[in-house]
Formats: sequence, C-alpha cells, structure tokens
Amino acid sequence: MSQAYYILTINPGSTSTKIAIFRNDELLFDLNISHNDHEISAFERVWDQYAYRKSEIINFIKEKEFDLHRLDCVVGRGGLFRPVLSGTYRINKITLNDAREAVQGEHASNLGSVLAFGIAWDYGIPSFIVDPPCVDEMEDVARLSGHRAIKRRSLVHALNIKAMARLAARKLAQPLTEINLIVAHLGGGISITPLRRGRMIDTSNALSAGPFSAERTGTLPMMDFMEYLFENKLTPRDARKMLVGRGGMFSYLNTKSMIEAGERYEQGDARARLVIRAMAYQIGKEIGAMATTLKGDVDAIVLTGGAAHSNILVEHIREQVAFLGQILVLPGEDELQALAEGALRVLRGEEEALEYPQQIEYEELFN
Amino acid sequence: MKIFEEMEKRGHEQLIFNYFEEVDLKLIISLHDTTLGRVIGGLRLSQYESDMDAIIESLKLSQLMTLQSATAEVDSGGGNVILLGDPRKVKNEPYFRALGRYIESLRGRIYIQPDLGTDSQDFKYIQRETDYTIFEKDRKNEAKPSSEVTASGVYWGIKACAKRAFGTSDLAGRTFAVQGIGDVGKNVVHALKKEDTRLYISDLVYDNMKEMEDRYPDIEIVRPEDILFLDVDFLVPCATAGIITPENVGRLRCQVIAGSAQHIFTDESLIQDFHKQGILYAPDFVISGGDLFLLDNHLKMVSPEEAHEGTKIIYNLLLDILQRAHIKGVTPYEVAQADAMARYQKIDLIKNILC
Repeated sequence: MSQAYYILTINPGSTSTKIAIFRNDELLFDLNISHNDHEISAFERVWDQYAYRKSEIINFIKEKEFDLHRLDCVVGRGGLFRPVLSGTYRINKITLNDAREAVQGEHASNLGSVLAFGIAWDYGIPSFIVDPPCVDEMEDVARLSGHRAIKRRSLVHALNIKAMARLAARKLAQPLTEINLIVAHLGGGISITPLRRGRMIDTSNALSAGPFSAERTGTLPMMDFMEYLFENKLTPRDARKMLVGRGGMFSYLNTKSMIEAGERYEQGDARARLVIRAMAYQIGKEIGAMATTLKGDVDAIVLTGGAAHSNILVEHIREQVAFLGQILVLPGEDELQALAEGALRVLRGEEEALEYPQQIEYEELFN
Repeated sequence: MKIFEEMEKRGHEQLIFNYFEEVDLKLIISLHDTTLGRVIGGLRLSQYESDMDAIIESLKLSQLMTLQSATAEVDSGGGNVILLGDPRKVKNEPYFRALGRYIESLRGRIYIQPDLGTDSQDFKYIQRETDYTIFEKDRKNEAKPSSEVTASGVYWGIKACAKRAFGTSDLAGRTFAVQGIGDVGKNVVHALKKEDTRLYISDLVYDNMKEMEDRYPDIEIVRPEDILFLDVDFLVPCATAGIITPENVGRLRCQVIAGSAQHIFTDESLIQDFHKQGILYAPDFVISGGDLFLLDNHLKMVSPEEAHEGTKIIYNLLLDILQRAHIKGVTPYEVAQADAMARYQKIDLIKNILC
C-alpha cells in the first residue's frame, strides 16, 4: 500500500484564513477562519499578523482533535514575491525575506509562506509554496508595455490556472505539455492566460489590466483616467481603491455579487443586463486577443473561478468565443486542493522541490 | 543512586521535597552550601523521565550556583528549585502561590529567580506569598526576568574569550551559532548584533526566531539538529543541559564555547575533550553568572544600571582565568573551580572568628 501523506494547506485572505488538511489528495476537513476586522486592523502591516493568525490556525485544528504531529508538510499560498518559474518551492530564508519586504506589494498571501514555515518548523517537517501569484513565464515580447519606464508584470492566479490546466488536460486525455489552452480565471479579479504546452506565455494582469471584474476596473482608457486622477486629486491609495475593490461591476451596480447581478439580469434590470454583457464582451475580447498569442492554435478554452458559476456570464462568453475551439467550464477554484497536490507531487518524488528563487531568464534590453 | 551519598559527594546541606496534591505541585529544593550566605537558586519547571533525574539535576545546579557565587565574589550560596510538571498544564495562580508559601516557610534561606520554564508572570503570583525572589526591575520599577543581565554577562564573557582566542575583544567579523532563543538567548543576540557579527540561530520554536529575523534580516536560522556543529568562531549555548555527549563531541567545529546554558555536557570529562580539540570552553558557572550582580552583598536589589555595569567584571574575571589556564596548560574550568573553592574555603575559615 502506498504511503499516506498528511498535508496542511493555508491560504490567507484579507479578512480570513482558509485552511485544510488532506490525506494525500483527499480532503479530511477544511476551515474558513474569519478574522475580526478590529483585530486585523490593529496590525500596521500584513506581516505583523503572523502570530495572531498562526495561533488561530493551531487552535482551530486542535478543536478538530487533529494531532499536528501527524503532518508530513505544510503548504502556504505564496505571495507577491519576485518573478519566478512555476512549480513547488521549498520555503527558505529568501522567500521569507521577500515576503517580509513585500517586494511586489503588500498582500495577505505574503503571510502564506511564513505561516507554513513557522508551523512546519515547530513540528520538524518541510514547508512549501506552490505556484505563487508572481509566477512569470511570459515571453519577451509580452513584457513591453508601450513605455520603457513601465514594464508589464506577471501577477496572475497561477495556482488555480495551473491546477485547472492540469485538470483540463486530463479531461482532454492529453499531456499538458502537448496542448495549448487559454484559461480565463473569473474571480474577484480576472486573468486571461494563454498556456503554450503548459507554459503561461502571457497574461492580463488581474490587478491592473484586462477585462473588468466584479470589483476591479481592468484596463481603463488611459488619458481619461489620468485626467480623472488630476481633476479629483486622488491619492495613490484612493486611486488604488478605485481600481481594485470599488471598480468594475461594483461601480455600475453597487454590488460585487455575481449572484445578485444575475438575479437582476433575470428580472429584466437593463443596467444589470448591460453590465454583465459588457463584462462577458471584454472577457471574450481578451480571450480572442490571447488566441492570437497562440497563433490561433487553441485546443480548448477553460472558464474557471467563482464567476464561472454564473450561467448567464458563461453563455455570453461562449457566444463570442465558441468559434475559437472547445470550451471547458470548470467553475470555482480550489486553491487548497491545488496546494496539497503541488506538495504531494514533491513528497511522492514526482517533481523536485525548487529552491526559491528560480528566477526567470530573459534578455533585458531595456533597463 | 543513593541520595545521601550523592549529597555527601557534592557537599549538599539540605534537600527538601514538597508535595501539594490540590494543585499537583511537586517540588524539590536543594540547598548546597550556606557558608558564603543565604542561597540563591533558579526556579526551573520541567518534565523529567524520573524523579531521580530531577534530583540529580537539582543537586548539580545548586552546586554550580555555589561555584558561581564564589567566583563572582558574591556573598551567597548555591541553591536550586525544581518543579516537576508539564508547563503547558500545571501553570496557574494557585500552583505558584502554593510554591511561594513553601519558599516563604524557609524564611530566606533561599532566594529564587526565574529559570527554564518560568517567567515574570509566574513570579507575580509567587511574590504574593513571599518576598524571597530576585528580579531585575525595569524603568517603571516593575519586576522582569533577569535575562538581560544574564545576557550582558554572557556578552562580556564572549569578549574575554575573543581576546584570549583571537587576540582582540572586538567581535566584528566573528561568526556565532546561538542555540536557544529564549529570554537570555534573545538578549545575547541583541548584544552581539551591536557589533558587526554574523549570527546563526536555532530554537525549537520558530516564533522566537522570527522576532530576531524581523529585526535582523541577515541572521541565518538553522535547524536544531545542525546548530551545534556549524563551522563558526563561537558556539553560544543558551538552552538546556546535556547537549554535548561523548557521541557528538567530535563533530564540534567551533573554536570557542561560551553561553549561558549550564552543564551542557553529559559528563564533565568532556571538558578535557574540548581542550584536546583546541576548543576554548568558558566555564558555565563563570559566564552565566550575570544575574548575581542584581544583588548587593546584603541581597538587596541594585539598579539595572548598576547590575549591567557589574556584569563587566565577568570580562576581567574570565580573561584572567583563561590566561592562567593557558599558562598552566590546564582547562579554564579547572582554574575557575580551584579559584572558587579557594575563596570559599578562606571565607569559611574567617567565619570561625567570633565577633
């Protein structure tokens, strides 16, 4: 009988920490630990929440009467680190330093690595991150933004995109390394990513470009946005809120819920109908654009993420992009499962754990 | 082991056992020697494989405390208190207040201070029942563990070792492996980072090290099983006893061992092995004695500034021991032990004078 591995996975969000314990890839239990706003806001930096969140995690697991000594490893959702290749990384000092320094910005996911490392250390077991949001496999031509001072960055839902790409490959009964996919992650942020033989050769940055989502603006008309900033004297913090959190569908319909927007659509709300159609239109347009990065050689389009549960949205997208090829709808995202599977591949020796950072190599012609 | 034979061998005066069922208090008090004065002893809370293991540890630690006092020219004797229990389970107010009453019943024959497994919170309860406790006071005059003063002593001891081993007390560029990042270990790290040093640290609990990493990002953390065997200038043990064994002594790669942990070897003969391997070993009872400077000769607390100033004596004291050991070709431990015994015996004679 093959060995059973017990894996703790940790996915910190801004106001909650999702955790799960797996026996191999089988979920034993999961928990969504909500954090009190008052308690979280008492910390100046995300990094400072470490001890608080760790103690909550340990207490909740103990309440479930799971003996932490049974664990074989702990996996955290990696943060906004320096750009790296896709894979499962052993957490090391550089990972922790980058998370502490928030090298690509403050984000709750930066805590994933230190929480995993801290718990793993106490129990003398290894800790990993898997496909962090800073995975960068973009081709050179995709890196230029249009101005030398601004680079296109790969900040992408790499964990879910890679996991869904693997699942799609299994459904197509072909190795991932032999097919081309476009994966549209439709979540709170949207990333549309073409994968050439498993590699993410481009992506619409979910934080600042691509289609609008339930709460993010995506790409805005640039000159108009610039004038808006100056006329309204927005601070960088206010501008960021406008783009991420209070943009997209929320700015039009005052809701971030795709369920509510869908109900209003069904009830004949003209605004809701227009906004959902527009969102689908932008998503379709971006998928079409990404199809060109694969020169039209697309084996399947994968629609995933929470918003892929919305049949209305999916059908509108389908109308637009069906001509490009087969569409696989794999709604939701299971990042905890994807983390566990990433660690399991290493524990079983199917993959080598990478040493962070495996930096991408490309010729920097414009520093 | 026969207890009375062991007491005779080590020169102990008194061994006390207390048990209070209601709070599951199991207590061993060792009073080694009161020739120099009332005894001072650390309060240790830990689990032991057997009661006899706890007794032996208490006897060893109290004996060491006598040597420590004699070396530091402090007029106190050696004692020790061991609580047998799981710190995660037994700690509560009634538990420590019960202990306080037993200490009070000895009417000042022993003064206790925090040691492994006990902290300032525990002593807040103990102090409701007895004044026979020793604490460093902070600026608000509130009690806090004596770890800063102990660490200060370790720091000055390390500098003395550097002078002997490398010809300069300047620690810049030196490498250190600090084992145990508890209260003393953290303060040793703070002291060492005031100079341009390179530090490797290890602890069983990551959170202790995270605090140090956040403050000093260049610090390297090392797995507990590896820290003793790093190729460094200094091994600084600040955790538990018995970490160096006949099996692992040959794997040491450091040039100096100097830390607050006492009885780091399972067998005293290993000190000779350090010597043969060319490793300079700072006698534990000398370098870890910083907290003795919290008291004056009447066992009254001095100011934190005075205590910290007092620990600088350890530099001269240890350097003198190291140099004489070098000249004689013996271990510093032997010299320090002989010094302590000599002072102790002379004071013992003086006490015969009637006045």
